[in-house]
Amino acid sequence: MIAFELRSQRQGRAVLTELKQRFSTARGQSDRHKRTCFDTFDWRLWKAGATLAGSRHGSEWELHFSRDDGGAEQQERTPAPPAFAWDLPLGRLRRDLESVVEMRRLLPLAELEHRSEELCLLDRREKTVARLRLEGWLVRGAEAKAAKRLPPRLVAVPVRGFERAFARLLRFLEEQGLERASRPVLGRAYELCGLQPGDYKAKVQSPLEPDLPAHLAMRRIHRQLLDTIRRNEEGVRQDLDSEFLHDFRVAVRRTRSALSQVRGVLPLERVTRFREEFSWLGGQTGALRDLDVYLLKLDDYRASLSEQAAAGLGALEDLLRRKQKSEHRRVARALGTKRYRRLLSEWESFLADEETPDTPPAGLTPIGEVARDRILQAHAKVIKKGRAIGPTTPDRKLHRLRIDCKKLRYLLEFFRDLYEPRQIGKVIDALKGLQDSLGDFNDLTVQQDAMEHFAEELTDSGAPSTALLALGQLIANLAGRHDEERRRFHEQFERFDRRKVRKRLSRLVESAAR
Amino acid sequence: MKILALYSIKGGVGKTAGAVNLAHCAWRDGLRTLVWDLDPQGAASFYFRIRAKVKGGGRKLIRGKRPLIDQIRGTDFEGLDLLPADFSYRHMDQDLEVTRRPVRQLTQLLQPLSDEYDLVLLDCAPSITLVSEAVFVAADALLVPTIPTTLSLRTLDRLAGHVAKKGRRRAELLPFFSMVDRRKKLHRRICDGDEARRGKLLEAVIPNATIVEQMGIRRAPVGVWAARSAAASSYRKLWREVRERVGL
Repeated sequence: MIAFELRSQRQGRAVLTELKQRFSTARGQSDRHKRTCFDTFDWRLWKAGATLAGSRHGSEWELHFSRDDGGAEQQERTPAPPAFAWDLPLGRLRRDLESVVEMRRLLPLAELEHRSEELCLLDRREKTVARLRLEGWLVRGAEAKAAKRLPPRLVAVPVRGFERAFARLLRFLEEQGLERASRPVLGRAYELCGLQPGDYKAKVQSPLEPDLPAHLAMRRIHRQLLDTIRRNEEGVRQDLDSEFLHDFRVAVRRTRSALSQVRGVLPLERVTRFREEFSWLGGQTGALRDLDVYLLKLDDYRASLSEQAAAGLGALEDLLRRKQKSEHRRVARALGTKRYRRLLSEWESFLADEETPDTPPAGLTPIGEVARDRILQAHAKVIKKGRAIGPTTPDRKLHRLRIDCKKLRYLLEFFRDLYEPRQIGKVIDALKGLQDSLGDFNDLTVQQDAMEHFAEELTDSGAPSTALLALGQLIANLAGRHDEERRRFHEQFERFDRRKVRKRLSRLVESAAR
Repeated sequence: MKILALYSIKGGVGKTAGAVNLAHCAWRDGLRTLVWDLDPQGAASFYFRIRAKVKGGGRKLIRGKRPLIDQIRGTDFEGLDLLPADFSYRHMDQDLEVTRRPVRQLTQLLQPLSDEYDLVLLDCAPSITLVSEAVFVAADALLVPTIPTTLSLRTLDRLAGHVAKKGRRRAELLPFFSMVDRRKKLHRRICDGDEARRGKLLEAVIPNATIVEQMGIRRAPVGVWAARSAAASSYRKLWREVRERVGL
């Protein structure tokens, strides 16, 4: 399918009339429909070049899913508008959709009204060999009342096995002076609704120059983290999906990490208070995140158990859902407090106030130098602690190393823009492998503890024995993976502690510190 | 992807009309549908206004030297495609014979299309040969148009016996009365009578109607140009029943 953008409906009609005179044609089908387009908060469908649209048909919803990289459009009927991919009936559409959006909620973003008429190009058997559609689109944002009009389009549609006729049609359209549409309808539609597809990234991406004074650079980074906190707040409050809280928490943790890792750059006294406040905020949301994670893992748990034991997971699921609900209420309350609102607004004005006289002298050091010192220090710590870990080292040392790795990772990401993208990417990837293994190792212990705790709770509330059987098996499975994950850690650490990686890192950080 | 075959040992019983009209009904329901015209006479191709010709001939196609997908043509209905017939299909038995597992060959050839289509309708040539055996293995169900006469019913019984005898995965037999002329006493008696036999056949009955014959002039499914006719409505009824039975 190839689309041409038109100035007006009239221009399109003129082309159709011309086509009728030059070729043998017949009127095709006209079409009219109104569909709601969905995407996740972080634009996963858009980024994957996929479209999910749906419309109500009586008591059901009809969904249409397609991908730019080809394949026919898939359809599915569901009893309710889509919220999560896992709510859909089992099948190809659900599989394809779930691989893109995973656990994120599908949000209705815009309503598109489509109207088209069609002309079929015929061969001498009066067989349709290509189609030309004149399409008009109206778009309405999720909350907007008035619809806006997109420029109409002519869309040339090939018929399989009749490529030559299609080429002829394209030639004709180009002769008419038409220009191919540069962007898909959906992108234009979102823009008319005031949305910018792909504008959300949880990653830090502040533009930095190496000789920028450190306090200004840090303010910039913090402002961006604050923006992420703010943008996820509403999703957390409404509990739209688990990832709003996740991104919210990560931004808070990064803020805290930046405050404690890059010291002496911002006025100490005021920063100390903010650090305490952000630590409070982080503490408020920890329990909820843990519960979210267990709920997300339920399917994996189920798959890891025998059929009989898996049946007992129902009681655990109920318990988790109950706890998650009440924890969420607590978090939503915390986000409604004066303390929280004051923290954000004071933090924001602190960051904006760049002329503040109490900036310490270190704040004026170029960020390239500060970054080098901080990164090298954090890196040395990881290497030193990592090398000290042998086969008999207690588990808690690995957990501490995990935190140190995280600190290093945050630093690398904060200052990413100072460095050559491919090189810094490689360093981060090596660190990521190490972090993943440490993270998985930590998860095992944390989950084991949590499951033991849940088992006690379920026993006290008189849950059926099948539930305890399930938990017992789960705990045994988790414990069984302990040695394997530790082995994996050693592999990953060796990979990270190679001369090549070390040299690459020191070369990189020096490059921005001149 | 479900595979249904319009099959009969006898010729001129309404296989092609069935395939074309059922395909159109399926397309109406939004299913991505492919008709494979296996009959060298190429009647289904003709009805869809597509030349009964396959590049490189049937031999290469059947041996898997050329992927089926390259030979597929779009019909006048977006989402309903045709794999045309070719006169060389008359040698299909020999072509199958030289493949590694002849009776599995059609299944194999169709397999790569399973993401592309929801339904494949095979319009078979009349006969009972190696090709038919391969069809029995590939198809989820055999739709057998049956004229209500004594001999047709005998043939149907033989077919049922034959299909049942073979082990492995076998197509379900879904016969239906076709070309029924209610003016004939015998047709009436067979269609209405004998409960036990009636139960084996689908309920929808396709009449012997001029409309169906006119498809040759109109070159389009009856649902397009005579949607209100009795014939069109009986195909719709047949489609609903088939859809239900095969779980589409």
